[in-house]
Amino acid sequence: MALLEVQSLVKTYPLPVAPGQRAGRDTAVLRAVDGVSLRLEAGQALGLVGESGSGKSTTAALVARLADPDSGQIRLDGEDLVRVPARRAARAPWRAQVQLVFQDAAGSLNPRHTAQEAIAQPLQHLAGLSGQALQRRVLEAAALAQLPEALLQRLPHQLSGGQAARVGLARAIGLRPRLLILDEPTSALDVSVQMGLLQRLDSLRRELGVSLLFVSHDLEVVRLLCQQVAVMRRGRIVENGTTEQVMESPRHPYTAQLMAALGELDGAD
Amino acid sequence: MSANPHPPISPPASPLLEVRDLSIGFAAAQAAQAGRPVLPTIERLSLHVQPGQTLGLVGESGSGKSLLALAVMGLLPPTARILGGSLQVAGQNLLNATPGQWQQLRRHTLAMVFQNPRQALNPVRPIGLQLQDALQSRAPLSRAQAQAQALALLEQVEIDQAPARLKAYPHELSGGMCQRVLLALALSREPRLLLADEPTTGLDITTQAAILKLLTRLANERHMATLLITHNLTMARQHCSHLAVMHAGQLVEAGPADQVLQQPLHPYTRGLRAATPQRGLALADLQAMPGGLPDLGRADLPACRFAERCPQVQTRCDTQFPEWRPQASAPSEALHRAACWSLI
Repeated sequence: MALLEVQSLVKTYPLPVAPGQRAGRDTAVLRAVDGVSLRLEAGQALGLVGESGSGKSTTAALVARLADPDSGQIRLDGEDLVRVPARRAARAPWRAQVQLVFQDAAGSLNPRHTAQEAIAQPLQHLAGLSGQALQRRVLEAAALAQLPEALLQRLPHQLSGGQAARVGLARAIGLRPRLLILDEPTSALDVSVQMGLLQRLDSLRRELGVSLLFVSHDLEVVRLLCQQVAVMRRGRIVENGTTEQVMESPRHPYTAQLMAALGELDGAD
Repeated sequence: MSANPHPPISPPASPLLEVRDLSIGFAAAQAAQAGRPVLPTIERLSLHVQPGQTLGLVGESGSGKSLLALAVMGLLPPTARILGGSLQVAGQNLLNATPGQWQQLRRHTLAMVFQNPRQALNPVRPIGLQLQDALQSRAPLSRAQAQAQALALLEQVEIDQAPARLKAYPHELSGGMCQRVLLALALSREPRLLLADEPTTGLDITTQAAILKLLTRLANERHMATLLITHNLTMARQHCSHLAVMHAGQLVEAGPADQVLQQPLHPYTRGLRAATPQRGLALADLQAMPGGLPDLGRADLPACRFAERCPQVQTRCDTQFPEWRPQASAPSEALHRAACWSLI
């Protein structure tokens, strides 16, 4: 059985109504996610690729249970995650198993909490840790994310982009989740920093067996990290398979277009 | 179009943009720090751009690339101070330019496109009127003439359904379309030098490719020189004939793009290259670069600001910025050179 199984996921948003009209049953809707199915095996990484507006971030938010789907199933190890509504998901028993890392690392941290506090919170609330045991786990999480201990007392504005990204990763990895959902975690980082973070994610996957759902518009980065890739367009998955299959012989014209947009550092164009 | 015929590319024309030994720093904002010497953020930077040339300025965020572009446009923030050196555009010294001269330069010679195109546009004015405003600021045009020219500009930047888009507000356009509008605004200046500061960062990868292709085509057609600021080496290689590599406010390597990327001389350029994803390389083949940019406010900053991250650091790196190698009597953009003691 796959660790994560997503079946026919649908999420719609009402489109804005013209002034003077009221939203009703026949108001037009945007099908942001339109029947998405995904499978992710334990210890594997799945890349979810597509342009802005393709529904990839909405899909990630649904799987992370930040929002409720209109219909469809999300199962983690067979357990139905949709049964608990999103507004109560923060206290769901599986919350520690499914964690998130955001794109804007510094912006997703509370500006008044130190790195130490940011990493400690999920451990306090979801694992019930305190005192020395908590401190030990915070240091362990920081080490897993390769965040130097000297930075733990800093506030988000005192951290560089790469350091803030590591705090976000430490916060998510501290609970030893089985599934890590990453929404463009490296797209704002310089290559010098991005590569270190990607390599860290890859070792966490191999050493701890964490599965990764990696949302990105950059196929080159997805290729480095993911064994499987799903290409989304207009709310639907237009192509999926192993990263090698999809990148070596893309079947959908949109995937081919994405591939063509990748440049090369050497050789002729 | 410019009335003058384009100058020949060779024999060597005088550079369109010439930056020599330029240092820029920031005056302390807090009273407690007032009176302290202003430390250079950009330190003794020299580079030049020939007419029609595309120079890529690369380096990590925070290395001073945008600050340099703002200095060239005369748009430095009020706390910035030019500490030394010279800055010339088309032979005109910019450091003592009057506000009136700056206005003339920005109407006829220089133009800039920015990273966040939507923020650079007026949110409450249709884009057609914004283009007309720009056109009418540089030449007396009737409303009909200005409108016709605005439409022509939108067509040149390949906006779909251009006539209908004239009335659109920025929020009704996608990020890629906003960048095209910004490019149309820049073209309305008929600039000889376009500064493009991360013009595609934040856009989708397919849109990025399309915008850069458009930029390259327009620059070629109009013999417009471009300073393309990017942190993406792959993009720089595809669109620039020459590269200048900046680290922490210092220029460390420059030369023809292919040579700089294929036989990098400076350890920093080598490090950037080794961290850049490319086809055929797996994650384990790529190398993250140690450390980050040093704090430029530090009093004990090493002379070569890369020293603390450098695998080939020597003792003199701390005290003396290296000479450029190979050396040339006159600056030549064809010369591939770097500033590193390991080359001497």
